[in-house]
Amino acid sequence: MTESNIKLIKIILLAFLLVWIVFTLFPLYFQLITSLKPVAEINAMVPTFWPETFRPGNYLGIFADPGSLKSLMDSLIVSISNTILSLLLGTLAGYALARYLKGIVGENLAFWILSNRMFPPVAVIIPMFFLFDATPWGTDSYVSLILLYLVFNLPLATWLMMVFFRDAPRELEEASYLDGYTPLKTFFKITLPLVFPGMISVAMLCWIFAWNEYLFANLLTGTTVKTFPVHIPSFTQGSQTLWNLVMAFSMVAMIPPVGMFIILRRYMVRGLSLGVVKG
Amino acid sequence: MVHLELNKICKGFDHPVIDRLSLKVDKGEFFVIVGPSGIGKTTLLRCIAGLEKLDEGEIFIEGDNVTNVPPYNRNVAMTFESYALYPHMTVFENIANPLKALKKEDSLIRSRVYEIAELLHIDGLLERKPHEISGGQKQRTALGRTLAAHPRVFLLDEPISHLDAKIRAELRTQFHTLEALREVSTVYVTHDYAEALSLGDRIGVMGNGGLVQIGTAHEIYEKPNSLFVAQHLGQPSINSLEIDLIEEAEKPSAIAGSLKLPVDLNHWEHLKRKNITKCTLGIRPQFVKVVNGDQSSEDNSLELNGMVEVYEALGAYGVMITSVVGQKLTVLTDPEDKYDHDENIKIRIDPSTFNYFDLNNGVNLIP
Amino acid sequence: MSTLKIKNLNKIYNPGKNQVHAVKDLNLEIQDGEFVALLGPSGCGKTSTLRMIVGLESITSGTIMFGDEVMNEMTPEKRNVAMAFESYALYPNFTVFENLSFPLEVRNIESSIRTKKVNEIAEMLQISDLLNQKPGLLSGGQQQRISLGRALIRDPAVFILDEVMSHLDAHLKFKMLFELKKIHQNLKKTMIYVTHDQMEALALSDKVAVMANSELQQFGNRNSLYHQPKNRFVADFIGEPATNFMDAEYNGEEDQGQMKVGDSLNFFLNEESINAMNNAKISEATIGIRPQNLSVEPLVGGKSVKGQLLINEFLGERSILEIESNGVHYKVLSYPQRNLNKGDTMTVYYHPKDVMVFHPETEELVMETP
Repeated sequence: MTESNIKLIKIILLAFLLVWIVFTLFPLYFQLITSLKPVAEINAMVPTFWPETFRPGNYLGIFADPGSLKSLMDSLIVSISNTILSLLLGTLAGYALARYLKGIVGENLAFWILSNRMFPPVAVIIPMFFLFDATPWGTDSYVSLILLYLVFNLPLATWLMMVFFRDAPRELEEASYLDGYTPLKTFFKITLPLVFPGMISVAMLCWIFAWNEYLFANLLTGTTVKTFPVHIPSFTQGSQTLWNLVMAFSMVAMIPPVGMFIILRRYMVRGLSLGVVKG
Repeated sequence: MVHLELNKICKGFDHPVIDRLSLKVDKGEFFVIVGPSGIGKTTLLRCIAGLEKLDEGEIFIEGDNVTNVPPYNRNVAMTFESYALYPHMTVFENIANPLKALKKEDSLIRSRVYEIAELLHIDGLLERKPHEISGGQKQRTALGRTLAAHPRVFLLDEPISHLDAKIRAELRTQFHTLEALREVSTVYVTHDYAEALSLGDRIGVMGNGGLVQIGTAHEIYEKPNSLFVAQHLGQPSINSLEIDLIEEAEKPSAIAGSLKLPVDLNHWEHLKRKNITKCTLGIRPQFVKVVNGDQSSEDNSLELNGMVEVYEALGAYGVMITSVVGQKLTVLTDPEDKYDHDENIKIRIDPSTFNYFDLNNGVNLIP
Repeated sequence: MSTLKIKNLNKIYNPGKNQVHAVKDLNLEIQDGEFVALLGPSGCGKTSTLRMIVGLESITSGTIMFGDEVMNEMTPEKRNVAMAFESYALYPNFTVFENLSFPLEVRNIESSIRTKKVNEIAEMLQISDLLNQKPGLLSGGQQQRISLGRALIRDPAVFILDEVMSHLDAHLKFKMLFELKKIHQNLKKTMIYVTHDQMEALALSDKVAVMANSELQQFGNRNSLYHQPKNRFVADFIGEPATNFMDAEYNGEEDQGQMKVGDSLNFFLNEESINAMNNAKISEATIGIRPQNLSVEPLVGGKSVKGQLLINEFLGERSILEIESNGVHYKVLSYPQRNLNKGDTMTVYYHPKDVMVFHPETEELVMETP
């Protein structure tokens, strides 16, 4: 490997990386500039890649409709509640599977739980509608979405927490028993702190799913409860979709998850690699 | 006064590990269990701790039957081979944990932890986390946690195996002087026979699911009840030769191939009475001495010619493998001497130091 | 064949503000066929030195030569050194046979020759019956031997073993030490053995290079390391049980050549040490005396001190006695002692020539001629 060869390879890799970055970031870029354009410009035959006129007022405009703020609040309520519930149940179930259900029965049960995550959501829309319709709170309620999202988040949470608990050394719990703590106290004082980074990353995965979910939210809810993905199509004027407002609203909706990721990114990496490295 | 009693306990997984093992440990006694890796020593400790449920048998501590008492109510403490220190807690908090579990007040906890830390020379490390301290310091922290709450029984699982030779020697001294361990009963498990001999008031050699021999260090080393025990206590291992016993003109001899060794008359008395014609002869390497220059031989010892196969200075001894009339013998020498490959040497052995073991079951034939 | 010469070797990692000077001005000469150990605690520079000899690490300054050839710029595969690793590094999807023949295959050696060599090596290492198995299921000791075999099969000029015993249990280590010695006897190759365990180093090698803090402390055979350690570090690191050290005062002629430890514990020095101390003109020093050189049986021509027995550690073939004299604790190695108990008054004998004196500041051995 001569030096010039190495340089050439480095240049090619750099070029490739640049192309990739442009490819990935372009939609985001376009979203941003569209959100700052006036209506006239978004309808132009030839799209512009830099706003001719800047309309930051779009960001205020989206909130002219009281439904916008409400939809963000509704999303927050559903996401936070579901994440807490998924994490709570998933952690407890995961612990049980990791510690108490060994052998063939335990393995099969764990796999069956995870397999629930594998089938396409579309397949269960109609049954779900009728199921929730039959409940006292109906389809158009917070409860229905929170419970429904559990169907997808709980298997994931359970499975991941099970893996994390499996990697938490059993000996530490045993040392705690000998120190005098019952299994329950040990769980809270010793085991949970060990898997805490894992719990954070599980929480983030559950949150992302709940926050972005459109299909079921659209089908089951719409009036009493309206999460933001469902609210987005309402930015129209007659037959004209106000893309600039749609983009602005989407940008605002991105803030909570992106913000969380940035704040908790340290835990994300640690959490996902917990299962890989020991010690 | 019996403090800890194990009564015919059995424990197995897919095969039996502990089979009708019984043991009585007195108050204040430091009991060491020694045996090869994998024999079940850790399983035994875990049974005493309550981390494993017995298949059969009973365990008594201070007269109480604790067989069905869970570990968090047994008031027994253990140091794990891997230390099992809580990574998210400081050294202080690790040691304090058992006291916190007993809901002791903070001031009491603080004074007790400082007391122990000073005793174990880790008082400067109390604010550090386990990943910030060395192996020897981790070991002492684990030991401190074991001592903290005055348990009824101390269990120590290979506490110093993974440390450097020098630190091991230091910590052995510390175990000798640690009075706290002699307040109640201590059961210490190791695979290192030297540690066992050094530390134990009594020692149990574990094999075949039980304790093959129990006795003081001198008893089990000088009078092993079986070849198994003789082999496990000593490095290099005892020399063992299959021999035929014959008597010619009232002089008994042991024959191994072309090697003929005299048999001490005291031993012969027992062997003859039991009609033994074949058995295993055991000679400890330190009783095979290399003859230097013109040392006159003492009565009863035999001189033989040997050829050096390999020689190495290993620590406090020189270890030599020599072939004597077709048989290989391991010999201990002064490490300052030097022997070359293929060198001719003279060795001297004293038949009164021989051991005789049954050819089939390895039992020591001389009571 | 050739001598391995290391001249003024230096290695600096991360040159600049946070640099680590891992190897400082190392000078070492290893004769053809010698078994040399690089011994030292972790971080002493032995691994960096090793990697520079093999070619896995670049040399900051200095030279490494085989005979007359300078090796600095040569890539590892051209250097004719073979290495056995601490972690064995066996190819798990190859059989033992394939693992052993791999180095030869890579060099395009003919198949029939390869087979012959593999069989030879396997027989020497007693692994002939394992040739068709995969390494994953074999024991530590067996994997160890395969790793050695793979390095040996290339018939290199220098054979390097990097902490190969660290994962073996005591019994296996004991056996392997003998086997390695036998291999060296048979092959008569230059072997460099890297370890932090002084017992292994002294058992196997002709000479040991003791390193600490990136510097060579002493290079010599067992005798010189034991009886003429260059400094306190070497005296402490070499030997088991460890050397007893005590702070002492020296008042020259007044004390008739004795070192005073505390109020009333005196150790006699031999003539050479007395002369050396007088020349050095120091009144304080650290003395070191090995437990092996102290005895509870009278020694002809020896001196004695009195003390009290604190601990009698019976270890089977020997006992280690911890004795206290006027507040000073030290250990004595002796034959197994049945009848000595804690509190007994003891007389401990020694030869003055075994009392080592170290300069209080430089920590070097105080000798007549430097």
